[in-house]
Amino acid sequence: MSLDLVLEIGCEEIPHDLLDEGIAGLGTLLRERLAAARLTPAAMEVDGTPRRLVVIARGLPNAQDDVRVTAKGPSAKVAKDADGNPTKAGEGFARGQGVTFADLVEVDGYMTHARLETGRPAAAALAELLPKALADLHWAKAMRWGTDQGPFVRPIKWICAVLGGKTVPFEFAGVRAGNQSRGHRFMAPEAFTVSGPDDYQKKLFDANVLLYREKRRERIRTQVAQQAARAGGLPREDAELVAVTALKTEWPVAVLGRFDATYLELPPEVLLTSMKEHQDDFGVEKNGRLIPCFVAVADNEATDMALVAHGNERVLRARLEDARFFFREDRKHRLEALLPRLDSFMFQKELGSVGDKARRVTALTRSLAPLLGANADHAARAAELCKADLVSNMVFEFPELQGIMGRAYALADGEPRAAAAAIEAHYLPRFAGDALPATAEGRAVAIADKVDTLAGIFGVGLIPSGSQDPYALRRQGLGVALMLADAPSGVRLGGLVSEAVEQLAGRLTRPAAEVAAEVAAFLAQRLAYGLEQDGLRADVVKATLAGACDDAHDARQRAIALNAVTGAEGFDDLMTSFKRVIKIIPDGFVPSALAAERLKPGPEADLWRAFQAARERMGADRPAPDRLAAMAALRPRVDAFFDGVMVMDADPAVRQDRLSMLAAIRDTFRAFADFSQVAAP
Amino acid sequence: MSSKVLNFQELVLALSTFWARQGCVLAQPYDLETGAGTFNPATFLRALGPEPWNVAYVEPSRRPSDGRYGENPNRLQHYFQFQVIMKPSPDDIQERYLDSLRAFGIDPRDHDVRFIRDDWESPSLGAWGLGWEVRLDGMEITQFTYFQEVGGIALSPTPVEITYGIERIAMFIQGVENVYDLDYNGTLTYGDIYHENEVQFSRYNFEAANVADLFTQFAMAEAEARRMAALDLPLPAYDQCIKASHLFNLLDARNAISVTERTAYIGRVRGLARLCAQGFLKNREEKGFPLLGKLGAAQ
Repeated sequence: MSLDLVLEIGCEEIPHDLLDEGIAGLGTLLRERLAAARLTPAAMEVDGTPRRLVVIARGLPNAQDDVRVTAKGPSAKVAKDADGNPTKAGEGFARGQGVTFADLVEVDGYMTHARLETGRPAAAALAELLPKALADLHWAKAMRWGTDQGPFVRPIKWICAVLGGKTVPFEFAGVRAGNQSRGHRFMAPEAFTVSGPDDYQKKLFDANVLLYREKRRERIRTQVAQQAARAGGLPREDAELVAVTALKTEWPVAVLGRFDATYLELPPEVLLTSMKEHQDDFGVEKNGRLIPCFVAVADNEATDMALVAHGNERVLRARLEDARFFFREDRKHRLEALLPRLDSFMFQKELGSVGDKARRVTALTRSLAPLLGANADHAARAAELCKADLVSNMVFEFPELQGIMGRAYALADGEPRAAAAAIEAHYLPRFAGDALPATAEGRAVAIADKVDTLAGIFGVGLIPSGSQDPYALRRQGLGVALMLADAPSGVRLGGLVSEAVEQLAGRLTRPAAEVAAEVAAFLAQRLAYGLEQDGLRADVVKATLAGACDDAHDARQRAIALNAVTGAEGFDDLMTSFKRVIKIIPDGFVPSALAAERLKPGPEADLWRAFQAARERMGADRPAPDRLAAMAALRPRVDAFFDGVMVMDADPAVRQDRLSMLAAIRDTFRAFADFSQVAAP
Repeated sequence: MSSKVLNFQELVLALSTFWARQGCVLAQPYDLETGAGTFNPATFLRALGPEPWNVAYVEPSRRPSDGRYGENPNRLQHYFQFQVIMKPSPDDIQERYLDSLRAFGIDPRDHDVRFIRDDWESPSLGAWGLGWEVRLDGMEITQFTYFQEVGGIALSPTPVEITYGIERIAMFIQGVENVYDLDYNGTLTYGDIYHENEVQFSRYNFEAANVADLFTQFAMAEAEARRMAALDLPLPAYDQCIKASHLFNLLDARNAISVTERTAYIGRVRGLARLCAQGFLKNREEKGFPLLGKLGAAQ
């Protein structure tokens, strides 16, 4: 026989940003604990709403299995004297187990006692297990309430715990579990009795609660589309907003609102931000353009939804009015008119104002632009203006519009389109997996801005450590590495960093050379991280970057090529050749110029000739897979050389020549990768 | 519940009557400039320690940086909060709160009333709590917070703080778009009474206040608070802490404090708040937590 469990923790509103992890955490925890208690259910689902966390487990055994528990006592040597009679220690252990010494069994030199532990009924085991699991459930932020109740994410109002139709008797946070649940806070507040999963699910739905997040998301998508259609439009798609509104509702009800069409003078991003931030409103569009409507998601089917719509319209109108005021204030002057104000806007104490930063970024952008194939004038103009919107009214009010307002204002000022686009793009990538700037101008400014921050912050000793990374240097470093790795360019990490450090002369509190070396190493490390994130093997990445990493794009190509051949045919040839060559060259060996005519005919001269012939194909300008193939093809010559020639000849001149030849081969290989760091298959 | 639309002072009366019936002491605003009802000793100090405490009061709240010279329909540098503290937080506090909405004519069944996560922190009071902002058809009307720590001291039992933005609520129920158009008492508008106050204080806060003197006064308040704390006079010490906090807000409005200095100034006010909280708690303990017997038995 098996039993079904319904567990519902009724709470005051659980924060929407903690609900997902709470549900997941409860699921993981209960699965573990039930398994450990020999009460694994046949099926279990966990979900929730702002007002309840719910576990429905079907097919739990009605009792735990019996289990043999073996207690291990003292060693036989201690437990018995020379004659085999029990010592005090031996008898003590037996007494502790409630048996006589004769009942003990010697196993591997230790006295043991095994007994059968009878499994308890599931209800009794759960009455102990459930409150412990709830107490152990981790929340990013937990609280206390009343008189020392909690901690839990929010105060618990009721607990419904029903197993096989009966209440599981326990108490948690001062609340006794019962068999009562409640419906929607306003639409069906009455308590109802729960007898099992099916009964619970039906009654809960009838009481206007959609338990499953996916059901709520579905309902929101459908209703928002229906409301938008009333205005002849489509909802502006926003999966994040669908998810968030589903986490904030038990019975979502979409409602259409309207605003004055004159607000459409605002850029669409401003309208959408005003709607989304705080209000969770969906924008409505027609033929890809916003129309003066929005859809709000309420959590109540009121008798008159027009009343709810009206309230939401008032709030949005006040926000749009604010936004329009800021927009019009900002448009009273050109974007560049804001530049002087950046001089009194602190970037960092030692590194000066944001104005200082913008000037450094502009200079750096100018020299980067040609290397990236960007229009230097447009890129430099973007760099000059890229921070100006930070002191605009709009960005002060809506910080998330930084860059977006800069682009919009620059376009309105008639700045070059490429410059305007680069202003917005220079913040990219904003998070792991975000897009890179689409244009070369955008990349030039984005790289210059980030490298200036890296060099500056390292240069004043604020190097990220552990979770301490207030300037998000890891993200910015990764951004630079990814942009440089993405496409061929003339930018070299070392030169880039040196120039950024030079720009900061007089501001850094640490030696410039040290800072430059650290930042370059940091960028190489971020590049490695980025390549590994792309699915390349860690050892391959390490080996490749040990070869060279100044040219990030080249390094990426080499890593991809090497990753593709590891374990494949021919890889062994590469590794063997490389290892044989490096093994024999003594530490500290200094090669000398090699005169080919001094090499003896046979394997020695053959290897040199083959190497010379292949050298071109192994050059840095060649596609990485070809370079690898050329290196692998040397294997027979390398083998023949080592089989037929004694490298460590008695004649020092001969020895020097042979080692010099091998050193040249080694260096060519190493320029590609330090193959010795690639793990053996 | 009446179907009549309440004017501003009737709203205050309705809230006062409601919470008085819940067993709250109807306290009066504190006679110093405060940034919020939380600064009133009836909240900040009484939240500390084991003694039960239920109180409700209106608090004039000054936010110098929010001044708009009386030109913005929604923003004020001086406005009113209706503040409720109940310690320990009653089990049915959310239901009581929803009943308070009914008391001024809002039936949640007819609207969209939501509790949306909004955790609260006051760096200058060394205080934080978890809770929500309450939204009525999309508009924030109340801060609802379970205090967890005040003056750096963990709280037990837990007080709950409910702060109503009464201008907003009045605007909602009166259907008014501009705060100055609010019907105050059936005869006068909110603007008749407070508009000039906004104009003059916006000028004072942003332009006229003497920055050098404000710095001096801040230093004086800080020194006096420390001196009073050392004399085991936490209540007078706390008055000086409130003053220091308001002086800091004025300096901030005058743009006299840089971003980097800001943190340091807030830290100095927090230091005072801690001293006062510790002193208050010590004093109550020495008195044997007198309200414990009186109100504890009644609960």
